[in-house]
Amino acid sequence: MKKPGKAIKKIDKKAPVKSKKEKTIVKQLSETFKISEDALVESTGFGKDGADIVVYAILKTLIPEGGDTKQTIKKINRFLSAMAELNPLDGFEGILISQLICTYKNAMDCFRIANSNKNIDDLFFKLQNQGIKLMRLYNQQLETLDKHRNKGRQKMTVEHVHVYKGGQAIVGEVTQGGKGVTIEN
Amino acid sequence: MTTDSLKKDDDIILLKTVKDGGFSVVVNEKNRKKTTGLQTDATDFVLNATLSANGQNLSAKEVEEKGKHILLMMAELAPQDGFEGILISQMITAYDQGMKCFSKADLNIESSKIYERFMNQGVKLMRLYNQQLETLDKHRRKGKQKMTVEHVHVHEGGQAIVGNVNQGENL
Repeated sequence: MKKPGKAIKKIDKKAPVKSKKEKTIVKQLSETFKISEDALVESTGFGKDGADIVVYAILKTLIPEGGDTKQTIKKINRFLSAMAELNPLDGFEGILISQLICTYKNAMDCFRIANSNKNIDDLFFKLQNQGIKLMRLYNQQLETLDKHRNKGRQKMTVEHVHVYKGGQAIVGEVTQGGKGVTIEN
Repeated sequence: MTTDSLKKDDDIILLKTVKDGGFSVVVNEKNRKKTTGLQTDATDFVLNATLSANGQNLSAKEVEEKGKHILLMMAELAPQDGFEGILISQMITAYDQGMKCFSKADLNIESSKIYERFMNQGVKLMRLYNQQLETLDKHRRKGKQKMTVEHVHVHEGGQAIVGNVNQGENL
């Protein structure tokens, strides 16, 4: 049997080292489509390094659609300006907001294709159901975002608590820790 | 939302072109925020998606009519930010499609199978609308759930907790 430690060392040696000269996706995009690099980074909620992943994911969803470069630029511009306007405050929000927009776009596409069919058949219902599912997902995503921005807090106003002799009351959050492990001798 | 208000605010839609099944709506800059809660190119993205989803199989004139109505509806529902604009565009779609399903059901009233199918679809879409409205309300409250407790009387031997109770994970 091989020792796991050795195998890891071997892989480490073979792993390609990224040269510092390599262009990031954000940089490539800003060069080909003439969009400001800072604006790209800003729209994702990430810093310069993390922005790459989000922008790459967005590109992958948008580019296969049409080969027309002008259309693609338009699409990317629209998508990123939507992201920038929805103003992600951190990376989590950046990812969530890019998902929100994708969900919305695909839901609307489902309804568009369902309605473009003149004959009503199984496909109509299938597409509509998919659209409904996606719209429901949007609801969940927006609620998650609000909860995240709110840090999960709930507001509670308590006005009068009367505790009589022998009574007990707790006002406030009650959190129970995890149960310990019991060890049998 | 009468035709009068449409005439007063005629510039709410500037232009509409139909291009291979897709739509292109251009809205006056001052009306962008009003209709979608967004200001940049993203407005066009939302409006095009809304019109494309709801304006299929219609003549150019009908599309224009419907587009105006949808935009006025969106403006009247007053989205306060982009999230609301996107949600309202979905709400209008859910409403429109739900009503369409009900009318299709009525047209097929002699075939119980088709009638039932359209009715169920309409019910699904209207249920979706309910959820969306709840989501919108929650969003306007910023996801906060407000709870007001006014009087709690705890008598002898009684116990009460007022507040969140969470249990930690068991190991």
